[in-house]
Amino acid sequence: MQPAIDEAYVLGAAAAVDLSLSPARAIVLAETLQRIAVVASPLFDVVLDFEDEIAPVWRP
Amino acid sequence: VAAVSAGSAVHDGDAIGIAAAVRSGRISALALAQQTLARVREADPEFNAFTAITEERALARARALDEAVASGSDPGPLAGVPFAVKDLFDVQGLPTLAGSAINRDRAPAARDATAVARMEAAGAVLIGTTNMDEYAYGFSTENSHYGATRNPHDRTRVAGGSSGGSAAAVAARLVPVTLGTDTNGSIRVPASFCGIWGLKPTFGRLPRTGAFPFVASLDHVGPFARTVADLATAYDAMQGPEPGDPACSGRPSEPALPQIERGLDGLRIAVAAGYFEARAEPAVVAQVQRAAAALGAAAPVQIPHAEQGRAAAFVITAAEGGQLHLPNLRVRAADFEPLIVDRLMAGALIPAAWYLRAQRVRRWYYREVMALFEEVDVILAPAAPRPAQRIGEETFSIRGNVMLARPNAGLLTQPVSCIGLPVVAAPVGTVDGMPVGMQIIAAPWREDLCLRVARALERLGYSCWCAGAS
Repeated sequence: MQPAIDEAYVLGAAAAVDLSLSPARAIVLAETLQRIAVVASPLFDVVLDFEDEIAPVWRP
Repeated sequence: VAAVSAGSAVHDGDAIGIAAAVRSGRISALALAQQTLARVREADPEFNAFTAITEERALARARALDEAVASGSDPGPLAGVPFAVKDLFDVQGLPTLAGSAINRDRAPAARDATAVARMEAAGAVLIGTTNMDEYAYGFSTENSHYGATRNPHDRTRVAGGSSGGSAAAVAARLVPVTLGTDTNGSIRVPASFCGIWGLKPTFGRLPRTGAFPFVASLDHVGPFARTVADLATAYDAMQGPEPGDPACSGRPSEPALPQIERGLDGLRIAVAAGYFEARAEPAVVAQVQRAAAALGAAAPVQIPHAEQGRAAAFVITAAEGGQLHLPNLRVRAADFEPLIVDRLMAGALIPAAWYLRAQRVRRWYYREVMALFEEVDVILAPAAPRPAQRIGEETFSIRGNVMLARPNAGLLTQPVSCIGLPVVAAPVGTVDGMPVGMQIIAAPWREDLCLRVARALERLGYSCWCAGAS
C-alpha cells in the first residue's frame, strides 16, 4: 500500500525536512514522485516474511 | 631507452604491453607520459572526456619510474601505464568536483583515493580526471557545468554515464585504462555505448575510500580498458581490504589475471530471457544472442523478479541520493545540475515505507537470484536497452514504448547491481552503426568467471571497438 502523492504530500514532507519549496516546484516534485511510485509499485507485490530484514549496507 | 614513436605505443598499445616495455627499459615512462599528455591536449576537445590534466604530477611520477627501472627495481605490473579517473575520485591537491559546481568550494583533496593510490602503487601514471553526470546521477554525461562528453563513434551522441568521460577516453585511445564507478550501471552503460570493456566487481570488492559517494548501499568502483587482460590487471591492482570503506570486504586479494585464459570448459552459461529480452531493442537482443551462440550458450534462463530488483535499486538510489544532498538542496538548489535537481529533491521526500520496503525486497531478491546460480555459472544479458541516444534527447523508444532516456538507460543494469553481482560489460557488435554491449554476470566474488568468459569472447574476435581522434 502506497500513500497518495500529491502537492499536499510534497509540501508536508518538505516542511518535515526543512526544505522550502515554491508552489511550482511542489507540482514538479509531485509529478516526479508519482513517476517513482510507478517504478516502485512492484515492491509492494512481494509477500515478505517477518524475517526478511532490511539490508542497508550489505555484503554478498 | 628508445624513443616512443607517435601513435605507436599509447594510442594503439595495451596496458600490459606498455608496462612490459617500460619494465624492460625498452621505452621510457617519461616519453610515454609526454606523448599521452600531448595526445590528450590535442584530441580531447573533440570528446570533452577530461575535466583536468595532472601534467606536473604525471611527469614527476614517470621520471621516478624511469629511475626505478634504471636502478633495477620492478615498478609493477602497470609500469608507466597512463590512466585517468572519474572526477569523483580524490586526487591529492585537486578539489573533488564529482561533476558539480557546488564542490568547487571544497578544499583540495588531502590524499589520493585508495583506488588511485593502488593503481599508482602498481606503476600506473595518473594523467587526469574525467567528466561525469553531476554527482553520478545519470546515464548520459550531459553536464551543464562542464559540457557533454561526446561519443567517440559519433560526436552527436552521448557517451553514456555516469562514467562517460572515462569510457570515452578509452574508446578514443587517449589512455588505455580508466577508473569509474557504478551504482546502477554507470560503468556498464558507458562501456556499452562506447564499445569497450568495463568491470563492475562484486559490491564490497574494491575500496571506495576517497570516492565521492552517491548511494552508499550500491556504489561500486571498477575499471575500463580496451582488452580483457588490461581490465583484469587494473582490477587486480586495486583489490584488497580497506578499513576506510565500511562496505569493503575483508577478503584477501584473489587475482583474476591468472585465470582468464582458462577457457569455457566446465562453465554453464545461459542467456537471460524474460525481463532482459523484453526491455531491449530486438537488434540489441540479436547481437547478444549472436555472442552467446559463439560462446555455445543458447539456453535461456529467467532471472526471477528482476522488475522488483530494478524497483528496489531505483527507490534506494533516489532516497539515499536525495538524503545525501539535502543540506545543499535546502540552501543552494539553484547551483545543482538542472537535469537532476528535481530527482534529488523528490528522493529526499520519499516515504520511509518505500525505502525500507526496497531494502527488504533487495535481500529477498538476492536469495531468489542466488538459487539460480545452483544451475548456471554465468548469465549473459544486454547491457543497455539500445545504442547511445543523441545529445539532448529527452526520450527514447524501446520496442515502441517511449520513455525518459536519462532514468531508463539503466533498466537492464539495475537488477544486477542491486544485489552486488560482478559483471563484465563486453562489446558485442553494433546496431545502426553504434556499439552495443553485453553483461557477463556471475555469482558474488566470481569476477574470475566473468573475466574468463570475456576473454573467451575476445579470443573469438569480439574486441574493443575503438575510434581514432579524427
